[in-house]
Amino acid sequence: MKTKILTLLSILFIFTGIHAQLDRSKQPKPGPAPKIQLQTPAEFTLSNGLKVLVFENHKLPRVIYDLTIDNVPAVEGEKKGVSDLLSALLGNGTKSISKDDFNEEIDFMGSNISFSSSGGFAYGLSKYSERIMQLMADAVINPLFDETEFKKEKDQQIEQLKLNEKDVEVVAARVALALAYGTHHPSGEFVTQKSLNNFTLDDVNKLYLQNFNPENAYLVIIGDVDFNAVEEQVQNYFGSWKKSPSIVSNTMPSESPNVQRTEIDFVDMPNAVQSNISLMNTTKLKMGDTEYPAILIANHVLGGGINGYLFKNLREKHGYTYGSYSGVNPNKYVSRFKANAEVRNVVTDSAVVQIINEINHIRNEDVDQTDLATAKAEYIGNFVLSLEDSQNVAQLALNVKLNNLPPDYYETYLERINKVTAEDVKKAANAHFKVDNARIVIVGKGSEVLENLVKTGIPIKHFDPYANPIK
Amino acid sequence: MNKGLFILVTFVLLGYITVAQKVEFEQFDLKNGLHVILHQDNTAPIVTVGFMADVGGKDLGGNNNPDRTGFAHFFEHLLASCATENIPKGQWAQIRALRGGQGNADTTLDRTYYYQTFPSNNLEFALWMDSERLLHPIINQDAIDTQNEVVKEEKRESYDNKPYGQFLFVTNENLFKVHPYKYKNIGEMAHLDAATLEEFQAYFSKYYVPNNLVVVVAGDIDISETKKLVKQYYSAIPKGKKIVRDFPKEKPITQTINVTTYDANIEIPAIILAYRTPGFTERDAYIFDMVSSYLSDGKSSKLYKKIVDDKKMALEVGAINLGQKDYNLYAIYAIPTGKIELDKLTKEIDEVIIKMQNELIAEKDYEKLQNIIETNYVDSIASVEDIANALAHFYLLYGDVNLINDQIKIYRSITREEIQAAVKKFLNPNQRVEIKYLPKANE
Repeated sequence: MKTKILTLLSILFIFTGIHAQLDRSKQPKPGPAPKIQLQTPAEFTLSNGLKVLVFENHKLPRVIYDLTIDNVPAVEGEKKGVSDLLSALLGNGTKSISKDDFNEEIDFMGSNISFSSSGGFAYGLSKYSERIMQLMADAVINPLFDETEFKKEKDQQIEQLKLNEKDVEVVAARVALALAYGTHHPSGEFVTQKSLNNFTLDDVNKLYLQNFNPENAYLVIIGDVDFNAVEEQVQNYFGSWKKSPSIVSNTMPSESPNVQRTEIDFVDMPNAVQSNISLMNTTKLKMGDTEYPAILIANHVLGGGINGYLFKNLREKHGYTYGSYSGVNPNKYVSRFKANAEVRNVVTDSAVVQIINEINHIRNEDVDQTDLATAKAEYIGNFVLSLEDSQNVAQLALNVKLNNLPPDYYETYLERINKVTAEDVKKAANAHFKVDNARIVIVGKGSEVLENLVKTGIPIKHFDPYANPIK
Repeated sequence: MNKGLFILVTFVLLGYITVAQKVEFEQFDLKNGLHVILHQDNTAPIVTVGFMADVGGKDLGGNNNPDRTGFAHFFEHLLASCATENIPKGQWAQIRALRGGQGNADTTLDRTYYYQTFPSNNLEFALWMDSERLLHPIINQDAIDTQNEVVKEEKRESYDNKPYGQFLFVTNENLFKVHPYKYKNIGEMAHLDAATLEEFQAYFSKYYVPNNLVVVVAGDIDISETKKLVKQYYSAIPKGKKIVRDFPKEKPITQTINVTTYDANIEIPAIILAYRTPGFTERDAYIFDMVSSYLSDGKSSKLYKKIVDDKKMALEVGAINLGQKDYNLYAIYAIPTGKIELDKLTKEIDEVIIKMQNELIAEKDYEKLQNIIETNYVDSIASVEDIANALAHFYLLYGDVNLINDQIKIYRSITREEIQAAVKKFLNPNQRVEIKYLPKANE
């Protein structure tokens, strides 16, 4: 099996021996850089198109099966919820195994299985690895869809909406996505009681046939398996998965444009004891973009963790919040930049001002060399530490495939991160953190926070918890 | 600037990694009484350095003053990224990041745990940092003032602004009458406002002493080299006084305690049935872990299958065995669907418990529990951070590090008869607090 070794070397390559007299005023120097071993998978493809990546690792007696089907997300529109029901109904029995028997056997093995509308995940002890794969494959190829379960799951989803009705965090997430992307967009639409009552089991079945196509699918196998045995098992259990007769290729609608001038989009929730603040804009950002490392580092400097501008200002300097962070994830279609904090009601307006200040800080001023070095070292350190978990290693291999990245993408990754300059950071921040065209979605207690928010001079628009404008 | 990183890429062949499932470790004591546990695993080039202190939310500030709750957690905030004699204010997180490290800390009612993980070439640096904050942290008014606001925001974010966020507070204050488990781990905010710098400093001198701590180093290390380094960095920490705890014992609950509470963040009520069961070192506590799996682990579990899946009377049901040193908290909760009354849910839950009291669980279900136990065990030793935490936990709170490997044997030795007996002994309606957790109308 092939592996890549990334060697991490620090410039100072001296290993200081142990001194008899300890000088505590000096930071101990690092030892020789460790070697990072990145395992590459053994791969094969079935005749139905299913691509399989095997990461054999016998450290622990367990196995993970991770199925990803690379579909273009579909707009569900008035029938929003079909995909949610598909996820819920999959993995509850198959055409030859009743729901109860299926669930009983999964639980008996101490294993777990779950599905999304474009994939699935199963894990368990390696002594049951073959049976878990067999059940997963059967659930994927011959799912059991029946009216009783459909109705039950739908009723549960409707109750679930009620359960979250007063959850500030849930409302904030829903409104933010709806406003940033638009409710006409797969990333912005959300389920309502009405939309859940707008479709039938037939719609679920149609979506299943459209989404569960082996031609677009990747099965990642991680853990205590033998490659030859597992290859035969995949052939046996996933070999009968048929390609979809007609492939519907969805087209992605355009997302809502960013606003002309920064505004506050306010949702009143009288039960809130903190305001949930998210400043956001959409932007285009792909993993393969040349400036991707610069954006990662710019985000890390601004709000990647406890050394970020946002954390240092809003938590450590002002004590407004338990934590303030920013994020921007690459996406094949459209991404969203977000800077957020949950703050006590009385400092809501001040927190908004400080978040804007810090975004302006990174856009207008060169990041100082120590902050830049800190962000890079922290990012690289996090990356190195994450590789202890073979699921993360597998994700890297999958990223390369799903995003058509060059095969050596991760071999040069850390080097590219390390090359990012202060100028690159400023440029990336200006291109992607659009503080002058941002929506600041705030969910909080209007009677305690609005008066001061008005004083910020930023125009305020009002919305209900389902993102409908209020006059 | 010497902190940059060069990255060199090469290809090699790697043999399969095979490691015995037993977790190997070595332990020793320093002259100041500090206990140290080392675990070597060279499969990934990372190292976790941590220490666990035998101090938690049950240990009040101001010499066990009931108006000084939340001290242990507050202390976690102070020490998690503090200034020391050799680490200037505000630098902790930055110098750690410059070495590619990350870390965190957490507090329970029983103990406080601090840990940091680095690429393994920074082992010595990690030991230096941790020994710095134990030797001479700078605890001043400035640090206290900032963290006081931060802790208040944490309480709002994690409890007061969350649906069902008061669950644990209400349960603890009703289940415990005299034992300090009745207090909020995060504390009363008024107590923290009133606390003085001297009280915080005294708390440090009392609890953060070698005889009340365990240090753990796990990951890509060389044992003898690490031993030498630990001795160098930690030996100067002065000994402390022996800590004597004499918490009052709770009288058994013999009559159902009925409680009603209100939460402005919910629309749907919940029922909580809470029992006081033996602490986590007791065999009964292991049994109740199995009872919880039997009742609510997976779609085929008894409560889920009956109440959520078949009868559709609840959206959610769960059985929690919250492990604590002196008493465990055992809670069964359910959130109803539609107009189902809470009393009806209680009745359904009780039927399942009564059946467990009258009959042995099925052989098949017993086998299922064995598989769940094995899976949980394997998952619990999947990372060096998990192993470091477990080693410290078993030493400090159970007094036996070997439990990291032997705990699974205890679970396996438990019989169906013992499960029946424990449910019969502890899960009776007259031994519990019944909490009706209801929506509160907004004012």
